[in-house]
Amino acid sequence: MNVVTENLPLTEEDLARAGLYALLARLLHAAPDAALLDVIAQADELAAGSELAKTWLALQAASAVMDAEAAAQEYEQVFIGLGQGEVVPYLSWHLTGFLMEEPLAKLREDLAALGLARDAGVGEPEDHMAAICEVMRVLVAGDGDSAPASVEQQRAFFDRHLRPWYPKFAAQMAAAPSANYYRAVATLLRAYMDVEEQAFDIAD
Amino acid sequence: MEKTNFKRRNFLLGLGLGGVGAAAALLAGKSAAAPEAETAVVETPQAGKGYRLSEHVQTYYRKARI
Repeated sequence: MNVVTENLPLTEEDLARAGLYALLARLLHAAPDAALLDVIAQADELAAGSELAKTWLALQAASAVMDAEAAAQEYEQVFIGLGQGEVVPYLSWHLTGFLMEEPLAKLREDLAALGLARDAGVGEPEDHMAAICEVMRVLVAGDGDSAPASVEQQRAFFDRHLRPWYPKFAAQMAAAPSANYYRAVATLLRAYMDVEEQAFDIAD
Repeated sequence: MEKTNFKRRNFLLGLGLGGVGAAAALLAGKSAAAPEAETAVVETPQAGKGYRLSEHVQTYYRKARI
């Protein structure tokens, strides 16, 4: 049943999910600028108690004391480095130890089946964590005049392309020697994707 | 199906995800500092309070038009 008759407004929780995926994609794609740091620092807190609320609060605190220049420097050291960064943000590497292996090919097949195509001019392989978060955002929220994907489709994509490696990736980022701000990003990613995993399992 | 959706919604909303969502959506919009022409703004009527979910600027993907 993939038939969606019309584009309904997003529910509160789907708006939240799309926003979190967008935010993670943005932070993993490039360092936050001053405006983004400011908005994160001043955003609403979550209802207290959950792990997600704790990690969100930690990211807000980190954003309040971080400046854009330091963030840019840290991003460079953590993800780019001299030759190789401390964190390798690619699915294929985490599953096989090499870049551009079979997991990337499988991801490309699924993207094609979903009718998703990269914007011209994006040279980065599709299995970068930022790009995969961006796909989830598109599946949750739809894009322009295309409808959101069903929860089953979202779950299938999450199971195949996020579930197998997000804990390893988050752990690698949290342990990166130069990570400071990005340690907070890592714990938010871990907590949020744990929530996603549990929510998809409810939909079993 | 209806029941699992209800449980799923309750689980997500119980975390207070609704609150952060509006904030995160706003962030994603505000962070869109790059080319303005590319940043289509989508009204999200349900969010109310003037929140807008802006198309994320680093949009790698869009539905291929057939």
